[in-house]
Amino acid sequence: MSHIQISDDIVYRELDGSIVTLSLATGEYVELDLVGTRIWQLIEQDGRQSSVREGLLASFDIDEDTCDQELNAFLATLLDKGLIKVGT
Amino acid sequence: MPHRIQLTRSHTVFEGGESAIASWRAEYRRCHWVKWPGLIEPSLLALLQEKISSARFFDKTNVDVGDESRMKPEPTSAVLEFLTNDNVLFDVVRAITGCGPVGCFRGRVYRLLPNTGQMSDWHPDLSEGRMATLSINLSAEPYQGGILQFRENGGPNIVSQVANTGAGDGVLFNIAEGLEHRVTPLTGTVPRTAYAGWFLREPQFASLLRKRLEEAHATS
Repeated sequence: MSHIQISDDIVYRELDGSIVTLSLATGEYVELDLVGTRIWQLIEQDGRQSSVREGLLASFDIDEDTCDQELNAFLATLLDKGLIKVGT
Repeated sequence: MPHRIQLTRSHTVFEGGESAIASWRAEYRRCHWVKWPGLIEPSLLALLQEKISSARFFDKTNVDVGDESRMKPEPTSAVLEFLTNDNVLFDVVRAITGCGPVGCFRGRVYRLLPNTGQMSDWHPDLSEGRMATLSINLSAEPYQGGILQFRENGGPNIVSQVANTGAGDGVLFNIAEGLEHRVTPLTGTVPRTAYAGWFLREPQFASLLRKRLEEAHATS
């Protein structure tokens, strides 16, 4: 993954500090946790995966390996649910 | 600064601050309505219209009001509900209308078909804690007729009217004791499709959404 975008058919709002998404394709709601919400905000700001990674490292007290593992796993989940799309 | 309110995929844009509110409030008091051009962001509107074009509708009779074609529940209606249940929008509506705190917006997608007798006859809409009405034009093409009109209860004169024919435009309008409104029959060949409903005191949409999220989490 190099450039991440929120899928066109996803709408989202903040609820009690968490991002809640709703899919126009499936009608499925997804609520992101604290870290997921931060990643989502970073994607909104700059979809380059490297920028998201840097932002995540700056936001939480985690080492680079943990960050990479968790970010990759989370992005894979978002991709699987159709919440994001990726390009080069 | 322009006066604008717009529902986007990520948030509600409100521009114009107190100046916008004052202008809209004055218009609302004078005309019983205020129009918001481009209430739905255009690219989002296009997606919604595409979904609606293949959605299924059923005939619905609203007692003492008239017949309409109503869209069956599907993700599109859920998205419109999600977008319109927004605290920024609620605050703007409250500031314009002077109503109490808004708990939720409850609407439905419906269609009026030309040459079918479908219409919305004179009615007051005052029930179930309704405080104000919002109608958003989702029609893919401009339609003819379908004008929103207002009169004093049973009176002979139209005191105000508005045609909401711009794609994605919204009209917020007054429901009050002594005031009735209707939507005139369509006169051309193009249907009128709208998302319309009421701002209600209760229930609280945030609570409803929290419950849905818990249910979704429990079943995932």
